Amino acid sequence: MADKYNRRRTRSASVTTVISLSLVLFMLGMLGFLVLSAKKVSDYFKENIPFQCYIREDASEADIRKFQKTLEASRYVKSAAYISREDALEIYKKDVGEDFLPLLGKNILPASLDLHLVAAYAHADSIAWIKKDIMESGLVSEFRYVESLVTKINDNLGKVSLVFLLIIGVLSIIAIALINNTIRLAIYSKRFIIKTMQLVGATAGFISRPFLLQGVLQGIYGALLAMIFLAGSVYFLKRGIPDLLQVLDERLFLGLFGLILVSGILISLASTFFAVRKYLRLRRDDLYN
Amino acid sequence: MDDPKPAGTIISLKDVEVFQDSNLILSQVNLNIDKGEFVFLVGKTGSGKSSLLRTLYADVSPTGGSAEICGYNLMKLKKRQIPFLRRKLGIVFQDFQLLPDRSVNDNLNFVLKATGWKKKDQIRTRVNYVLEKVGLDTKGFKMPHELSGGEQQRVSIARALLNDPEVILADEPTGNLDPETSEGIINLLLEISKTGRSVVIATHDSNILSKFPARRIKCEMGKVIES
Repeated sequence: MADKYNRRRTRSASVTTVISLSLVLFMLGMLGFLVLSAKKVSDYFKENIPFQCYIREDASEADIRKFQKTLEASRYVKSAAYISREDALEIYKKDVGEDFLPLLGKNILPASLDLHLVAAYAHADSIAWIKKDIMESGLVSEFRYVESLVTKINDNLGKVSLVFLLIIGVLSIIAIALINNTIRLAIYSKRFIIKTMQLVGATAGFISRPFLLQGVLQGIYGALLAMIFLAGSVYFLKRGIPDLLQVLDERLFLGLFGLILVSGILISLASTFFAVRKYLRLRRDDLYN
Repeated sequence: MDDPKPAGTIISLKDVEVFQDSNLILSQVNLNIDKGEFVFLVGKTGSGKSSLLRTLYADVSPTGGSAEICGYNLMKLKKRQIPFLRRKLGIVFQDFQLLPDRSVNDNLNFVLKATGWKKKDQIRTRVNYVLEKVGLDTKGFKMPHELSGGEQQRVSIARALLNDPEVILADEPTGNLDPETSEGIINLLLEISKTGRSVVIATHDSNILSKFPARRIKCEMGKVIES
């Protein structure tokens, strides 16, 4: 009975360590996930900035289609959608809820090509020469975009990345300290056992081995749990924000899972190694301090 | 030139000093114990008995003259050699120092595996042998906390016997036991000494000392003297 209780207590201490480890690894995993996807998220925002090329009234549909194909083939355009005058009127009616046609007697809206640029070209310098390039075609009367939006997106993404890196740095240190502390406490509770093992003639290597093995196993179990939490969180995020997560691919996930597994094993193993070594080196009298 | 160590001597200390941190506990310790000898180490609490035993099993480093046990020079002993010295010793503690998280059998298995035993049937045979020696051959499956104090001390002695040690060092082995059980433990250690092993027992139990006539070494006023 007492034997069962003892084993249950030992197992529950180990389960607590694994859960703590998995929560910290989950947090690191989420951060890693955000870091790894930050570039893609940043590209996603940049490639969603709309640019309108208003077409001259005298341009023929054939010329416009040809120009659209040229733009689509260029290195800086991600997509170019042709919006005819009729389409523009329909969009206006839908957005504003009013029809000006009976009042004015004619459709005053111009046809346009709605562009989205490749992320690498979605900044002020590139936009300036892209605009010049487009205007030189002679088909476009006006190239319009919200300049402040481009500037703000670029500035803010830069700031967010910096803050993000700082947070990751600090949280990583906290995470490693937390795991280290949890494992040290678990080993601390066995300090007298370690000393007794030394007194009966066991070598440091023989004593350390089961602790290190347990450290590796705890790292693996913690990492597996963290992966399950992470996959669950991403699944629910994907359901909530499908557009945002479209940019993420499976390779990114596999890489992240590998990183979590390696981090879990290494952090757990290193913490166990240093904690056991400390108690192997301490004198018996110092164990009571 | 140093005096030669007498033939048959298993423990030899000459002009040794024993410190605990920076406190000098014993000085000018001169001591020779022969193979198969049964010795009581007596003295008041705090007189240095335990410190002397700890010096012998290399838990405290001696300074001064020369110190040798089971062929190991304690003055030049390297850290990595300590486990190998302890395999030649059997150590028995007042508080038993059993591994509380495993059964009696597993306590004994651990020692054998830690000291290089590989074959399961040999390990099982040896464990059964030492448990039989201490009269606990039916209790190997029990956890230490399920045993009485006397039984735990017998397990501790069985553990000390596993590797057929040349010397048994017992630090107050009867300190936590009633007089009748204490006598049983001392009788057991006396029997062991008759098989050619040296036994050194630190005690201040006057009842034991009066019932078991043997050589006595006394720790007093920071010195070790024949009593």
